[in-house]
This record gives sequence, C-alpha cells and structure tokens, in this order.
Amino acid sequence: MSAPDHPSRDADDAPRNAARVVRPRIVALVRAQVTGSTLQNAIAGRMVVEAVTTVRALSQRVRARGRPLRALIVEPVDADGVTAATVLPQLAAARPTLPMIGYCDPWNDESHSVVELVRAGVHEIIFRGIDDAGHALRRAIHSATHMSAAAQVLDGLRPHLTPDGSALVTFCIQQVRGGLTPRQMALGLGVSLRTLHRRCASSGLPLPSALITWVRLLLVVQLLIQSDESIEQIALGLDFPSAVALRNTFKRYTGMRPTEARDNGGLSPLLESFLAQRAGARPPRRR
Amino acid sequence: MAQVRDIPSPQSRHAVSALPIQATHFHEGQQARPLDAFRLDVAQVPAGDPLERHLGAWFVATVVLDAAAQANGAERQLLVRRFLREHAGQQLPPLPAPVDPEILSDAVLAIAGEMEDAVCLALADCALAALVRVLPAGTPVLMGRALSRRARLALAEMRTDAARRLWTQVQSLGRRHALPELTARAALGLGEIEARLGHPKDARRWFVRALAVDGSTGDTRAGAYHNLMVLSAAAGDFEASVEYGRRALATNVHAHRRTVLVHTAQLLLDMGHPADALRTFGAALALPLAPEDGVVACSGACVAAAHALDRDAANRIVDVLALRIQAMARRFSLVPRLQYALAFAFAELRDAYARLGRHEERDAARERGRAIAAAHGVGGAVLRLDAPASIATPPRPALSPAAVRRVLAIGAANDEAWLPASVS
Repeated sequence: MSAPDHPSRDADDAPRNAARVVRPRIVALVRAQVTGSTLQNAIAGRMVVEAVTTVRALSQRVRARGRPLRALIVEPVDADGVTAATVLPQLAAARPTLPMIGYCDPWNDESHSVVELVRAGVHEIIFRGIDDAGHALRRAIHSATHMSAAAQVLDGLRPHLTPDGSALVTFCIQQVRGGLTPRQMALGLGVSLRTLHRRCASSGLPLPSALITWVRLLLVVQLLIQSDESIEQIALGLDFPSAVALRNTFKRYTGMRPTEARDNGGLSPLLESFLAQRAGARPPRRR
Repeated sequence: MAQVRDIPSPQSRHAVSALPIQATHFHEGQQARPLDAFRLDVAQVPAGDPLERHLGAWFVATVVLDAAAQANGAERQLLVRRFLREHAGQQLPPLPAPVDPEILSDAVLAIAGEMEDAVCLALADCALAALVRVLPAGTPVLMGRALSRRARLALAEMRTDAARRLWTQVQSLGRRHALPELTARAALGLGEIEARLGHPKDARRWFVRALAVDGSTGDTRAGAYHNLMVLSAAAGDFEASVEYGRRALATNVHAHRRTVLVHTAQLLLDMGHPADALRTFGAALALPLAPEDGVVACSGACVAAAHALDRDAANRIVDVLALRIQAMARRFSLVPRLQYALAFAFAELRDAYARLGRHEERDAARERGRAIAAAHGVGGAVLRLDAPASIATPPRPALSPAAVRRVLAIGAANDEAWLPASVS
C-alpha cells in the first residue's frame, strides 16, 4: 500500500504576499515522503515541491493545472515497485518543455536504473547525499532547464537542416554555454577553421560566428519561456557580457527585443527568421 | 603487417543520436561532466546489452569520485573511502588513517581500464580527470600515470591536440621531479602522436628517446619496441620489425603482449607464413583482447586458416570466428571509431571465404562490410571491399636466414592450445 500523495508544503503555508508572487512547483516521485521534505528544504522559498509516491499519481500531478510546473524529479522506482522510466516518455510527450531529473541512490544497487532513466530522456541525474541539497540541487534544476530548452531548439531546427548542418548545430547547442568561439568549435569538431566555414556554407548555415550567436539567441527565447530566470541571468549564463549586450545583439539579428519575441509566438517566428536568413548570411553589421 | 587504417573523424560521432541531446565532444580546456560523458557512452551501447549494468556502476563510481574531487578535507576523505569500498572492493584501515594515494590510483586506473576495454572512453577520461584532482600534492608519479592514460584516451579518439597537451604535462612533471618513468612515458606518447599524424621520422626519434631513458618501466619499453615494430613494417623493413616485435614480447608486459601478438601474427601473414600466423593469432585470441585487436585477430585468423589448413579444418575455424566477428559487429555497431576495423574485418572474411570457394558467404560478407562502410563513411574500407578478393598466399619477402628463424621462433613461442572447442 502506498502512502497518500500530498504536497510537502501547500500554498497555505506560503507568506501572505504569495498571492502576488506564485512560486512554481516541482513534482517529485519519491518512495518515502521524507525525501520530498528533504527536497523542499533544499529549495525552500523558491519553489514548492509536490511529492508523490506512485507513478500513477505522478502522471496525474504533472497533467494537473495550477502553479506553473518547473521540473520533474523522479526516483527510479515508485513505492509500488513500478519503474519510473516506463512513464517518462509519455510525460515528455505531454509536456515537451518539462525538465526531467533522475534521483538515484549511489550506495544502493541502482546503477542499472541510471541507464534506464537516461535512455528514457531525463535531462539531469542527481544523487542522494551528493548533489541533492541546496546550491547543488538548484544547479541541477538550472542545468536540466537549459538541456530541455536546448532540446526544444534542436527539435525545432532539425527538420530544416541537412545531416551535416544538424551535426554542426547540435555541437553549437551543446557547447554554447562554455563560451564557444568559432576556433573552439573547429577544434572540437576536429577540423580547421576554413573547413568549418566551408561545411557551414555547404549546409546552408551562416558563418560559424553568426551561427553561434543565432543559437544563443534561440536559447534565450526558449529560456525566457520555460524558466524563471531574468534576462540578466540568461545573458550571463550564455556568455553575453551583459543584459544590454544581449538586447542589442537580439535587436540587431531579429529586429525585436527578447521579451517581444517571447510574447509574439516564442521560438517559432524566430526559427523562421533564422531559416530565412541563414544561407550565406553574414552577421548583421553594428550600426 | 597491420595496415595504416582510416581513423573516423571526430564528427562522425554525430551519427549517433539515440538521445534527445547529448554531448558530442568537448572543446579544448573544457572538462566533461560525468553525466555528459555517460550519455556519450550510453549512446554507443545497444539497448539491453549486458554491459548496461556495468555502465551504470561505472557512472556512479565516476560521480562519487568527481564529488570527492570537488569536496575538501574530511568530506573528500569520506567520499574517497566510500568509492574504494563500494566500487573497488578495497578493505581500508579505520579512520583517521588516511587512504594510501597509490591504492586509490591503482583502483581508478583499473576501473578506467575496464571502461576502456568496453569502449566507454568518455567515462574513463572523466574518472581519470577526477583522479588527477583528488590525488594529493606530492604524488607526481601517480599524477603522471593518470595524465598519461588520459592522453592515450584522447589519442584513441584522435584528439591529438589534447593528447599532446597532456603528455607535455607529463613530460614537465618528469623533468621537474626528476622522474625517468614519466619522461619515458611522455616520449613514448609524443612519438605515438607523431606516428598517428604520419610523421614516422619524428615518431622514431621519440621512441628511441623513450628507450634511452634510464629507469623507464617495462610497459614503456614494450610500447616503444611495439611502435618501432609497426613503423619498421610500414617502411618495408621486415627484419627490423621482427626484431622489435621479439624485444617487445621479451618485456613480458601483458597489456602490450596482446597487441604485439596480433601485429606479429599479421606480420607473419603478410610475410607468407600463414601457419605461424595462425598459431600467433591463436595465442592472441586466448587473451582478453581490446575490441580493435579482437576484430583484427579474428579476421586475420580466418585468412591464415584458409591459407594454412586443409579445407575442412579451415572451414570449421572460419565458421567459429565469423560468428565472433558478427557478434562484435552487433555489439559495437554504435561505436564510430571501430567501424573501419569492422568493415575491414568483413573484407578479410570475404577473402577467406573466397579462398575456400564459399561464394555465397563471400558475397554476404562483402555486402555486410559495404553496408558498414557506407553507413559510416569509411572510404578506405569500400575500396578494399570493391577490390577483387585476394586468394593467393602472399609471396615471402627476401629475408636473411637469421630473420626467418626469428620470425618462426616468435610463431613457435606462442603455439598455445587455443582452437575453439567446436573445432577440436
């Protein structure tokens, strides 16, 4: 018999001004309610953890409306012994932008579950007693959100790209957070800078520097849609010198401000803009 | 002799996209996180493969080690102890006795070796990088060994810049602390880079330098002799090649012995001694081989058997080894860097079938090889598969009687009972 499902901390516990600031929620599939409380303590004041103990309750809670759902944290097996990996692809299909995080115990023999979770599409893995507290947990949620946003951008672009173009864009998206430059991109792909230019051109992509910038801008919009981060945080996370620099670059490439792009249809119009400009395009000149 | 084979370019990794988004490779100076490395390796293992269980355990071990590298003081000690107890099966003295760094280093190198043999190079690199950060100051030898292994992994993936950077670090550690072991290792590694880049003269210079270092270890000497053997054979100097092969085997270093045996057998085959080649391939196949060596040994043994034995015996051996090649092709179907070796193995299998007059199997092997080569863009293998099957025994090159005796001695020394049970 599984334990009853209830949020570890309900909206009633929130401060009085919570009516104005709605904290997003995280749904956590945990075998023991106490684990839900541990997670809640780790991110206290920022998000509300809704702990469930069965896969069935997890599906219901993920599909339920209410507070914005920011992430999903799942242990490999629920209280009834059902494997979480079986339901994750369906949840991902229902909510494609939802960051999913696996939660494993490194000291129990759960190593095979890690492979199942990764194959089921989790964006991050955290381990009990290693990175399930405080800053480490918040960093994992942040990283999963970025991975999820990157996957969205890639899914949007992939149908319009050649296989080689897809490989180049995948590399950009994967590495863009590390301050990627065209030279590093060439080194990482094991080709010369000239070959990289040629490959971009033959795939109908802009020059590497413009491609990297476009990928960053697409990620900016997707992160504005699906994360709580401010434009400043996103700018710094994607290696723009400042929010102002991000806004200026955005305006130069797209003719819009980031928030305008978010409010006017999100990623799709921006993808169209990129696809329309890509062939042989040079980075727009500064005015 | 082992031929110089195409190395799949790093970008061919992009062909593997089983996961929604995965790390491909990492630009210079960027250290992969364990999860990114794990994703990369998982994508190369077919779903349901028995290796998955080990892969999960290796990932957890790497995460614990990485966490230890990020922690300090007592927390680091606790994590290191748990790593050694849970993942390396080590019995440790009770606290507060510190963990011997050599035990930790040996444990991580052993696990990384297992990962490497299972072609999980990204995770192995990640574990070794964590080891370098965990090792206390004042252990330059251990640090140099770990860096050297990382460099070898980088070279296996043709990340020559990264390999050079790491071996240069080993070199400077050796120089700073007057450690001949590290100096010799670095010289060997830098020579291997030159050899892979197609600079045999520079490579030879580095190998000779590695051998000249007083105090180099057996495995470094074995590696240097082995590389000189390959270089000499590629230059057509079979006599020197044979001599270097004999010296490499004389060092009795297990890790090199298996590769040297495979290359020696290939050398014997190319020199027109298929019976000796078959015995030597057999000795290699009796050892646990790395995937690349296993593929080469199986296909080479098929060709050698087809040339050396009567038709019935040869057919039995080829049947058994063909199954092994097909199993390896399935197991490593998602590992880009092994595709050339696999396509080439099917080309050799095609030759063996052709020699035995089994035309249906010959055509099937050629088609399988072509399919692998086409899927992974390994043009050299396509050329080999499109060429007519070679059924004539290679002519014996003119060698001095002493060299012939040495060649045959190598073959005879490795005459071990190896035939698969179904054959005997």
